[in-house]
Amino acid sequence: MMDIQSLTKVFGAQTVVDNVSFTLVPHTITALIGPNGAGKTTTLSMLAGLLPPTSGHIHVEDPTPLQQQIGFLPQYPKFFEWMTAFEYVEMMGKLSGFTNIEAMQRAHEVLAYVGLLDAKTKRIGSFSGGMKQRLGIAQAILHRPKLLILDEPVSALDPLGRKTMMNLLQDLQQTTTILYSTHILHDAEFLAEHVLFMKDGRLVEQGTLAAVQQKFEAPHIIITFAQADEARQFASQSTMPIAVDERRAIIDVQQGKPTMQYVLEHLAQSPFDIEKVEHARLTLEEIFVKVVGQDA
Amino acid sequence: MRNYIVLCQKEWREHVRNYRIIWLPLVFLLLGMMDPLTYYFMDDILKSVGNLPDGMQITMPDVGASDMIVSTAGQLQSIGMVIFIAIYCSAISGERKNGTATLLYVRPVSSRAIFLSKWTVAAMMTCVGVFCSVLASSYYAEVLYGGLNWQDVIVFYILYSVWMLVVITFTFAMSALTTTAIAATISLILFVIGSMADALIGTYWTYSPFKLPSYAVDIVRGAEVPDALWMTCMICIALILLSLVLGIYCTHKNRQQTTV
Amino acid sequence: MEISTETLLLIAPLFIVQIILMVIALLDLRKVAATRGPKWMWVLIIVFINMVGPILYFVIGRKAV
Repeated sequence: MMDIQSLTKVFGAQTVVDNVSFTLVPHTITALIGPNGAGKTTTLSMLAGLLPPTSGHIHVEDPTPLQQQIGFLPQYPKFFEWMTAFEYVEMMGKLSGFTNIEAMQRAHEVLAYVGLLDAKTKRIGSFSGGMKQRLGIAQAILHRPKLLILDEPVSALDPLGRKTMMNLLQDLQQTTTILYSTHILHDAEFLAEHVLFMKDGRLVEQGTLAAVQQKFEAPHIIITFAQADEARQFASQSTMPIAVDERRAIIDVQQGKPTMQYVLEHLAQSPFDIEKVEHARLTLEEIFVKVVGQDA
Repeated sequence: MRNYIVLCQKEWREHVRNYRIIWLPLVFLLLGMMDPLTYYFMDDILKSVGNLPDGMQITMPDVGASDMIVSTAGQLQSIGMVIFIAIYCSAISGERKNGTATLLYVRPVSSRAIFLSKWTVAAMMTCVGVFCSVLASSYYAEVLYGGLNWQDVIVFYILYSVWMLVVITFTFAMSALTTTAIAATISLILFVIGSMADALIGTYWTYSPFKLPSYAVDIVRGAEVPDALWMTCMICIALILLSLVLGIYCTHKNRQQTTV
Repeated sequence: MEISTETLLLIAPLFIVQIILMVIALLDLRKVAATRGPKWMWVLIIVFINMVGPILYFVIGRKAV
């Protein structure tokens, strides 16, 4: 869908985005993850055509103007507050090349889609933060863009608004490619297939969520016993390398050994009271801390 | 072209929603009414103030209808100009600063359409505003004093509108070039100081856009039409066109300054 | 100073325009989200400063969004 090569942005003496390259796969959700000031917004602004890159290329297969292929939602979208929601979306539709009738129909469609149809004749000035965010989505998907670029679309929302937004994004994924930035990792873990970790303007890690997780997965099998005593006993009796943490026995898995099956068989013969046996995976948050904190 | 029309509609709607299409003409009507009425009732006003010692006579200068227009031109040149600069100095820079422009800039909309649509509606408001003042002033001048040469008034109106268009177009260009505060400062200094300078030492040069309003006043006074009038008009129109080009260029160049 | 009907008719438009301006300014003030400075201050300015009050409000008082 979109191929980004060596994208760089320099403001004065400061390199805000440094040699960033990645590819967006059609119909996937890609999360751009990084702490504040990592250069996420600058990167997205360049992709949206708002900022000219200092160097590097943004390559798109489709030869139609980039602006028609992209829908953009800034972190804090600002609207003409004296307009009604419908007037606003309708105008944006016309500006994107719809005929008057198309613009009207499409405005209805997208407002209904984001659940703002009831408020369509209200002035945007009277909207709540969540409603504005949804209106932002409405204007971004209005012209059926192939790529949706969203800057921190969920960060400012309350839990309910966040849930709604995430459902919307999941639904939108069926028709568009989505690139969104966030620092809320829990959501990214739930939504994104691809992740890009950004730090100090550079991409420090990228790939599918599963691949990144696998790469950083500290392979462990964790057995939780009913009592701490049992955990210790189990560890002392076993030949496997086991670390004990309270009631948990943590088994290091190296080159696939021991396997879960082996552990389970082993446990089946033991007299201990077991609460839980699990494969431990690092959460995205833990990976984030690891990746971003690496040379901090 | 279509985007230009869509954006003109947007501008118009904004002018309606913030009541600018009502208050601006009304303010300029007031501006036009004030001077003829003040002159006419000056005697009564002075009497009602009542502190005059007995027997003191105040002789008002003999004034006629055309003097009212001249006086109103003075109001336009000060208050009128300041109002126009104040409301249009944020035309481009304001939307850039508050971020509302961002969602326009990511769409296939040319900077030309953005700038010209705003300018078109503003230019219309300018002509309407000046018209209201001239209308009110000349109406009272005719009713109170009589004997107005309407043809001269019309010429005055046209010339003065051209002058005010120079002011607002330049203000627009500055708004596209820089921030609201700087645009306002530059425009105010240029036109207020410029007009004063031209009035003081303007005899040293023949052609200057700042002379257009005074030529307009000359005409309404019934003085001879100055030879330099045409040239001055041309300079003013050239300035308008130049400001438009500069404004469009700066709007485009400063797109990246928009608040994301 | 006696005020004749004629005089009244002459200056009536002046007052009418001023009153309309004041009403519009107050209407707008009620609706607008943010002003430069507190709203009550603008109410006072609009109502008590003849002629200039509403103009001041429209030109510098209201924050356009």
